Amino acid sequence: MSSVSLRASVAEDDDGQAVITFEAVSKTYRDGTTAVSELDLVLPSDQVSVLVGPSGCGKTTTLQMINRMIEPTAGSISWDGTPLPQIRRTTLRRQMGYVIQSGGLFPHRTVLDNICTVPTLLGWSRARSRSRALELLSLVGLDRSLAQRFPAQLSGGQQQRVGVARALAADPVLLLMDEPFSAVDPVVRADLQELVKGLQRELGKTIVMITHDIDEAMIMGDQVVIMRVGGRIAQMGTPDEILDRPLDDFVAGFVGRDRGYRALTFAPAAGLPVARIRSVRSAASVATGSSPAVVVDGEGRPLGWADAAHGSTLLPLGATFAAETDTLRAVVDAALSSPVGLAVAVQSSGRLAGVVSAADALEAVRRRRLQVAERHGSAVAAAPDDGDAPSADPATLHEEAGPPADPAAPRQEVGHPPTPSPDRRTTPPPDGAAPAGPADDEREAAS
Amino acid sequence: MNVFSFLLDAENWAGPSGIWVRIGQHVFYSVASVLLAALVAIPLGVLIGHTRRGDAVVSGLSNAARAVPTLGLLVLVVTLMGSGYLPVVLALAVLAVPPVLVNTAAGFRGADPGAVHAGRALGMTGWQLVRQVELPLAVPLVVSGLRSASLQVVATATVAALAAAGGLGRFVVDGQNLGPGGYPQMFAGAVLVALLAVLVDLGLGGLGWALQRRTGRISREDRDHLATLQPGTA
Ligand SMILES: Nc1ncnc2c1ncn2[C@@H]1O[C@H](COP(=O)(O)OP(=O)(O)O)[C@@H](O)[C@H]1O
Ligand SMILES: [Mg+2]
Repeated sequence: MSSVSLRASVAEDDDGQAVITFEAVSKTYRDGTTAVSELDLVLPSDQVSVLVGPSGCGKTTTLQMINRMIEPTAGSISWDGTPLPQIRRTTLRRQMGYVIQSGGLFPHRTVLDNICTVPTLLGWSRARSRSRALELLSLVGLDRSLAQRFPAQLSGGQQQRVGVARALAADPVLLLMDEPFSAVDPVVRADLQELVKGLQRELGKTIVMITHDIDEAMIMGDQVVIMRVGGRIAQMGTPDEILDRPLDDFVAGFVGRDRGYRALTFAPAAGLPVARIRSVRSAASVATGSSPAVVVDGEGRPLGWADAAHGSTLLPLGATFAAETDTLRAVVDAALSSPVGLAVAVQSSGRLAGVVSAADALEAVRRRRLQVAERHGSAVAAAPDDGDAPSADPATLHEEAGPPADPAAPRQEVGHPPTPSPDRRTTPPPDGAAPAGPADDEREAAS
Repeated sequence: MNVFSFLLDAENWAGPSGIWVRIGQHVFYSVASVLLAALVAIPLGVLIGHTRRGDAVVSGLSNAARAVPTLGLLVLVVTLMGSGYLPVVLALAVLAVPPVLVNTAAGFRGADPGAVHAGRALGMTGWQLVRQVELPLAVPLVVSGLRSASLQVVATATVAALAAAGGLGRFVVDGQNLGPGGYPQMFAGAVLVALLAVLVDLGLGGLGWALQRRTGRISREDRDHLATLQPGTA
């Protein structure tokens, strides 16, 4: 029983130490189906871990072993070092929020009473549970006037929000979510993803989430665990690591062929050198022999390009990107769609902010790649690129979008991220070869 | 001959073998046997539905019980126990068990699986799950089981007369013995049984409706509490 009190204290001070550890966990159902086999997994505290994989690969089984809805047939799972079987089921579950795809709301209870479920089970006073529930209602972005409604009177998205509120009601240490957003339409899904990410940042919860949608996994996860049928881990790491260096064809196929390009979606554009550019009010005012200028309207918003070679014709602007908020991907789009090879940056007001050259944009892509490689803890990744000319050309982009196979690339160890494997590298890295250094120099040279 | 003559004669209503007493006996048998059946069938149905085990028990029991002819059963029970109230109540209860059992088990087993799963995963004990989730969701089916059991029992309680235990069946039996002159009496028995059945059906239908509404409404106390918390929207 001492373990029970230990667990209770963890829940109270919420010190962020709660870690779920799977050791050689297997689950074979009575009918002989092995849903999970020999799973080793660490779910770190205060992070969003996303389990992703094709249907039937054992994600739900894995998740439900955490709150003991399903018991493993072999191996052990512990929470902060305490083996789960030592914690009483109801005690354990009341400390773990749980959200499922269908919502699973109690149809006979009001929204408010649904949210009050766990506080009530924990014996909170009625008044305290109710005020907490109302607080949560606002937190998940629902109007208080919905408190007295029944689930059937809510939209799917609202129901999922109530589900999230109910899961958070007693301030659980851990939040388990099984495909929480797959039943809602894409717009609502994006909202809910934002909500949960926001809550995670605000409340610092440990979240374990399941999805079969790789994009959702990449958006939500600090750590992404890609599973394959039989409950084996195909690859595990940060979204960047997985996008940049899929371990095998299964992962590569799963994350998609355009992952090199897609990885840019996660890199911010802010920090790129935005150069000043001459702006004119009319294409006709560009003198012969001068460099291209941006034509702007009375508010300073870009309309198109003026180039002496084209006389007074207004050239199309191409895509623009928001200097502060957009991603590298948007910059590359803008640069490639510009008639003069310059990506136009705009301020949040829509006014012209400046331009980024295609060369700079592509160079940033290259640096991004190096950074990701560096985060893999290897300097070797930089080596094949060392001989490259400092200037970036479209070939760099091709390489970026090309197949994953890079024989010199370090292989990432599967399943044991905290334990560095001794044979990770094919070549020992030269001492002191800091991968970020050369990249920086190259950029200076290029600009 | 007026078939209503028996019913319209005030004398037939009074006295120890009058219509009022017969109605009372009939109602008593019906209520007692349905209650007895509910006492056995509801807990059993809850157990079977909640654990999702013992489907074979349900279908086996109910099929067997349906196959038993009530009259034969009554004769058997009376032979074993002698005539009187108890054999009648027991025989009728056996008749009432299957619908209650089947409906209760179905109600508990069929309770919104997402809600039941979530309740368990949020840390409800088995009993809390039964009380707070499955029961409220199963209530409409349980009540409808009781309703069809009651209808059957009210109609069948006429056989009590055969065990010399009174009830509205008495009028049918006595009227039959009187030959053609007994028609008004037989008619009275039949009409009263039908009327009673309609009343019971309406009553239990109303109960089911009320219970469903109750589970779908928030208490006044909660509404007041909410009103104090949100002065703007109350
Ligand atoms: N209760 C069960 N009995 C037998 N097999 C099951 C049961 N639950 C899941 N499975 C099987 O185990 C495998 C993994 O299931 P699950 O964990 O639900 O996968 P996922 O959530 O990734 O879709 C599947 O082949 C599924 O059919
Ligand atoms: Mg699943």
